[in-house]
Amino acid sequence: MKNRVCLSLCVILMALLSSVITPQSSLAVPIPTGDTEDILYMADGRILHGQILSENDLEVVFEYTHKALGITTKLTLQKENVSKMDRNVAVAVEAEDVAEEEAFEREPDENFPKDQTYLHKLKNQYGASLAHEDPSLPGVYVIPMRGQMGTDVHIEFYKKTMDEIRRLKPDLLVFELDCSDAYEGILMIKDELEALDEWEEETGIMDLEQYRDMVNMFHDELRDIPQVMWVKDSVGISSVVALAWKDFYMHPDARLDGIGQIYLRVVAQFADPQVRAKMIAAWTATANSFLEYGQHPLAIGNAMMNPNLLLGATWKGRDVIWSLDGTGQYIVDGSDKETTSFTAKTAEDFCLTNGTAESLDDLMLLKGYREYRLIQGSVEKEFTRYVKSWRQSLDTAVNSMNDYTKHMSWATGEDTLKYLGRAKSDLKRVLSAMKRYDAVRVRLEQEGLSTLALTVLVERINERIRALRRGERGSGGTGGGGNAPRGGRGG
Amino acid sequence: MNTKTIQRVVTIVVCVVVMFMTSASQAGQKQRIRMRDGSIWKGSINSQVEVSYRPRNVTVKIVGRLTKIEKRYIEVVGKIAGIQKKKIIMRSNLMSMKTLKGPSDSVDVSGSKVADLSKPDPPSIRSADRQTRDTSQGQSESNRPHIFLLPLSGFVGTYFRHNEIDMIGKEADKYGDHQIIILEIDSGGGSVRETERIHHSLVSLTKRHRVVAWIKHATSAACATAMHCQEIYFMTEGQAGAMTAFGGGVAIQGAELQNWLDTASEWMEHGGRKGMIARAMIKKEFLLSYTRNPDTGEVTWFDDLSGDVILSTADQNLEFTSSTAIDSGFAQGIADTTDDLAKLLDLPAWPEGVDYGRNMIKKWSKKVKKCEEDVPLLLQQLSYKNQSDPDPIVRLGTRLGIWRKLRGWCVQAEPVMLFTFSLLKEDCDRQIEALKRQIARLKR
Repeated sequence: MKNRVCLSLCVILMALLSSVITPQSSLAVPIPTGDTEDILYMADGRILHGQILSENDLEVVFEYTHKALGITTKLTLQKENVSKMDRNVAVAVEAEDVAEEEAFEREPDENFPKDQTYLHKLKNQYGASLAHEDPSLPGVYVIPMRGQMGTDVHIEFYKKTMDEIRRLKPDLLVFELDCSDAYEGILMIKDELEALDEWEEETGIMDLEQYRDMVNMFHDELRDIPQVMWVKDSVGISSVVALAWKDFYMHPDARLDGIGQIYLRVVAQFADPQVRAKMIAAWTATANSFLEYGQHPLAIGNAMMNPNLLLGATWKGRDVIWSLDGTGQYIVDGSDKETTSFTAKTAEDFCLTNGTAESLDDLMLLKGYREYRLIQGSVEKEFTRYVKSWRQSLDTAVNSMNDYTKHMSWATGEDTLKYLGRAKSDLKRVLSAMKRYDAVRVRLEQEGLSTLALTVLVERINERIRALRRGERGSGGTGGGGNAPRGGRGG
Repeated sequence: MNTKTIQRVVTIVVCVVVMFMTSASQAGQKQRIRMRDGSIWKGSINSQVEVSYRPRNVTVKIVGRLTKIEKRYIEVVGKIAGIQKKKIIMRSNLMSMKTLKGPSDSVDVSGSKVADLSKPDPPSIRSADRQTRDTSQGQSESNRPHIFLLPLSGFVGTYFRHNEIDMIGKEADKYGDHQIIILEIDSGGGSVRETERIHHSLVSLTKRHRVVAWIKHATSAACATAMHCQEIYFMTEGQAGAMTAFGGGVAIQGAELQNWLDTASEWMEHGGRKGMIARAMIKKEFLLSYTRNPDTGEVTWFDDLSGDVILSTADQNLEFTSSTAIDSGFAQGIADTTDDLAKLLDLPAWPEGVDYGRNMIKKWSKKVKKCEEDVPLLLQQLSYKNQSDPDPIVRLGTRLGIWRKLRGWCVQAEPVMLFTFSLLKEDCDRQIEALKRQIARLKR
């Protein structure tokens, strides 16, 4: 016993000394040495490198080597505490392992990519560890929700992921939401007019019914799988979707804002005060129904939607009591002209979120996992493919509409038939894109192009083509009345 | 055995004897239970009783054996949804109690012996559809109520109609009274005229059967439908309210408004709720708040803002979400799935194959959707289809064909043609006759 205490003290002392005197070394790729080692993955998250000296049904005697310190010691480990054993693994000297011990002393390397700097690595030391292979670790499945609400984030895409989620049986679902209608972001990279156009086109679609069905689908059909909402940024209608989860985290830079548009649109649309009051009640209740899923106080939803309302908070133990009249220990929103919004910090301070997580590792640690396994399903790949594909289809449809206008203007004289045919093909391409992707339909309908309007245009072109052919037949064959009986009679 | 041990044994024996004597005396003695209106019921444990209680504004009756009387509650063993169960009833909810039989004979009103609760539950309720096929069932199973689920979604007047409510009522009637009909509501409202028809259907239906509203979305006319039901359950995302009637973007006023306020209040009261709730859903000047007694759970409503919880201010109409509906007692519980709902309805499980209502609605909705797609195109085609043809008979014949198709839709989906396209069969007939005459003239 005394020997063990001495050994432990020596190890600690040497660790302290080495942390001070070990010279700086640069990050390096693993260097194979030709030797082999055994690796034990402990149930408590530790990974031990060394050699298995002996083992029986209950215990493993293991010669453990601390790589950074170069200390070797003999450990007797209970097998029930070992999750996995990898034997005879080729030894690669990981300079990173050493570097991690020194990170406190270092300055970030400017030549290194931002997400790989020592500072970043240092932060990651506080997160959980990601492992892909170990099936004994809790499996995490990340569902992306990025881009424009109602098109990129569309229920039709997520319906297709349900089978995979069921098949892979994750221990935790993480919804990674990054949707922003913020105008400033676009303005920074484009001139004002172009930015305004793009902002209008890319603003989230106010299709609360679709989002409610989507939220229902995840909550009801996957109710046996714990679910987490992690907001990287949310400005716009996406914020109601974010609030539909109780287990809610935000990225340090994230915003939660922008659902005031629901109230403003209703106010603008209905002039009669009684009808307006009805519509405000109905629409705010629809938006608040998302907060009911997330079990968030409805006062927050009301203050985020209605600019006339103030928001005050009073702490009662760990609970926050909200008021909409500006009373309370802390005034969250003291303006009767603007809606309430939250940053990651204020959301955490007022217990709206359960914490702030910069990375998935951070999030997992906040969830209580020291190690986790990222389930490599196809969802990320499929999402990227889907977004790219529908947007390509939209471009094709828009180009086809431009071609249609061009071809219709050329459809005169001798070339009339030829260009009418081309214009009809253009419209059919647009209709086909709308049928294939609901996102394309939604975007084109915003421009006033409905499937009905396009179908009517196609049929009208058909009429013109028929009439022209009748005319050709009529003029070209005076004696051929048999081929054009109706035309003959009319003539 | 030392003195302390002897003292302990004596104490335990005394306690057991006292408890035995107390319970024996409770069983034999007349007990007194005070009702909500102050009246007193006198009777004994194990009596057969009819209890009327009102949890959250809904009056519920149960007949069974009174098995326990505690300070805060009583326990009755009786039939709930056809299944013999223990029911705990808070004394604060008791409306009335009537002794049917004394404690000597524990026979229930239907004449069968009270079930032994230690035995496993009887088999789960089977669906109406399956029962129709299987006529050789035992008497006890046929006594249980059947479940009829009717999904009502979309515009009230086109997709969501009184016709389907009447039809499911007729189907339920085949099994006798007291069947369970669940209206699964998901609608943002619709026609006032249709709401009146639905009212008549529901007044008749609620007299015969246990009608339950299960709300996902019930705004305006859809809420007016739901509030007829004594039992309302919400989905988590459920919402109900905002019943302001309007046309052309302007709310109704004057006598018309007063009539709607009175009618809606009456309908709300039909469902066992306060009329002032309906008024706050119609006109923004009608305020509403409530206070909930934390001990008894009893809710007191105020038509001003003096209650603890404010539901409707002068700026906004009343629309419940699930948490406000449950807290105020407007609804009785939250169910997101049919299994959740089965638990709330005291059913042992959700019966499989409750498809009569679903199939009926599916068929009708398919027709409405097709009508909504076809008719706008047909109306457009009147202006161009074959209209460049030099033959006037072809032109008129094409138009005649289109009007005939429109007439077909008026026959098949009359409410859609009326509410969505303002087109009646008679309009089509007039057009058809006129075109026929023109064609006949040309042919002459």
